[in-house]
Amino acid sequence: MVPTGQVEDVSTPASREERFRAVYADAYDDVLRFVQRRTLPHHADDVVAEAFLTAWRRVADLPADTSDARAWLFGIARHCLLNQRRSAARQDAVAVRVAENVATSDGTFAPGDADLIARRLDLTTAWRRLAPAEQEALALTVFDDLTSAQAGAVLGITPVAYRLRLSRARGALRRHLEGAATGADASFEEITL
Amino acid sequence: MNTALDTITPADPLDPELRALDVAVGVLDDVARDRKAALLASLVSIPTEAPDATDAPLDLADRRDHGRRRRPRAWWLLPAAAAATAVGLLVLPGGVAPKAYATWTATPSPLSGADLTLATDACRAQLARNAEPIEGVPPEQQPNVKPETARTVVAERRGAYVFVALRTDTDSTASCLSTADSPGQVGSASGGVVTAASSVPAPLEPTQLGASGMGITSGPEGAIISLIGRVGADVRAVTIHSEGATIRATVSESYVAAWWPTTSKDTAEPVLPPITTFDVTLADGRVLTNVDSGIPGLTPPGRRQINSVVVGGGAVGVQAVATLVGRAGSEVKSVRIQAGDTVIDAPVAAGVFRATWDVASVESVSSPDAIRYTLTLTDGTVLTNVTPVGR
Repeated sequence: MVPTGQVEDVSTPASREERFRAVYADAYDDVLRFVQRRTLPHHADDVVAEAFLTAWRRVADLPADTSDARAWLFGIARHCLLNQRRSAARQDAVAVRVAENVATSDGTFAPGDADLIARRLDLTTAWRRLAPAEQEALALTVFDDLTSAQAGAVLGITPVAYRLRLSRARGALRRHLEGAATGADASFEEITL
Repeated sequence: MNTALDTITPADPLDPELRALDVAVGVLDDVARDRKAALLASLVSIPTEAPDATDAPLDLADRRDHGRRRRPRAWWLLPAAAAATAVGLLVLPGGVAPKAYATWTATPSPLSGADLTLATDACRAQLARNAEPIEGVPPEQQPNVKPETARTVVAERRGAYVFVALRTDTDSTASCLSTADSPGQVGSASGGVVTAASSVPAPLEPTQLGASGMGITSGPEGAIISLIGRVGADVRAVTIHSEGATIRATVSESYVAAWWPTTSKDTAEPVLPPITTFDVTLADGRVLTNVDSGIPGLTPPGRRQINSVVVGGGAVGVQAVATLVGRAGSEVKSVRIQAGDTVIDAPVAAGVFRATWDVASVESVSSPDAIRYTLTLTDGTVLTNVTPVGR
């Protein structure tokens, strides 16, 4: 069987290594950032190393398209994260962290910034109320910049299923955000829907 | 793959606001760039698997079975301490601490609400994980945890960290540390797993402290020590002195727990617990100092004795190794360690001796009971078949 997506000759070890080096140079930074969002800072390098080790061992499967290769690496990194998370072995989603200390972009405060800070705090709170699967669905589009086909591939679901999950996650985030802004109990609101 | 349809993931007005909360580092610094180059160089030097082997699906279950041994620097202590009612079980990747626990406080505050629920659920999952049978271990040494009976006995907050300790009906324990921004994500865990062979903990006197475990694990920002145990009916507070710090533990009902940063650089090697003393405050206000904690080896041994022997197992690359470290008295020059067919002479330096040797698998690491010790003293005397002192 000839994989339809692969146009380069990856049949020799030398050409595989060359291809891997190219993808590594291109995607490493994004894979690191993908992992940084999903684990504690001091674990990120270990996870990235494990992900690329897996990728190297499976270099024959490396998608030819650079963008798809990046998504493929995200999928491997996600497996590493799920595997590493012994404490949550039965979970099938990886929670995504957002900023804890909210400040303006240059770290200083101006009189008019209070609303912005409050808004970001609300958003952080709303984010933390999302289920890990909802955080994951949102992050793959918003932070990791994947198409729905690629995001679906990372999660092992169809693009249609992903878009549905994304849409629900956006709805949940908005409800939590409204709950935070009005002081209403967002989780109660969710139950009554 | 990028058809027009694919790329349409409807944008949302909230997306730019969310991006402002991204925790990922934008541009790699010099250190990160060096790491990137070093990793690539080390990877491409590894032979890839034969093409037919790569057809196998990336199977999580398969990785779970083997991942621990493959990880280059995953160390853990084996169920080993026969004298203790519970055994140490520390499972975490090592790592050099990038920064200290700047917001950590010596006095805790209570933990409640959603953070308590999240932290408890995550720690319960950790406990359930510890309950899983261990391959190649005889039935009487298998975990007898009963995770469904776990309840939170201590929950506290110290600065930007939350800590919960759980205990089950079999007296197995788990304690979990998380950062306050992700209380549901365990950053460090330790615990005691009871087996059928474990002895039943004795009832405590009203003024007694009965720590069931104290362990060093790698935490979110470097190594930490965590402690969990029981206290007698009259004990209202427990103060811990360790490495120059005075730590106020949380006492809740009849349980005590605490955690604190340790100067131990890394948990990737077997580490001795630092010399640690305990004071208890009683209901009538009396303070008892230097009480026995119930944990052996927190005080130095006698001049011609050894104590605090910690035996662990781990992996260096794919090679399983046994590790041993202990304290020796001031007149002990070297310690000969005999574990099965392996004999190692370990010199004593600064009151500590240590040894590492290759083993067939981590499951085959000897228990401390099965190891024989011969001491050579500074005056040339040789003491054979020495038993480490209890406490």
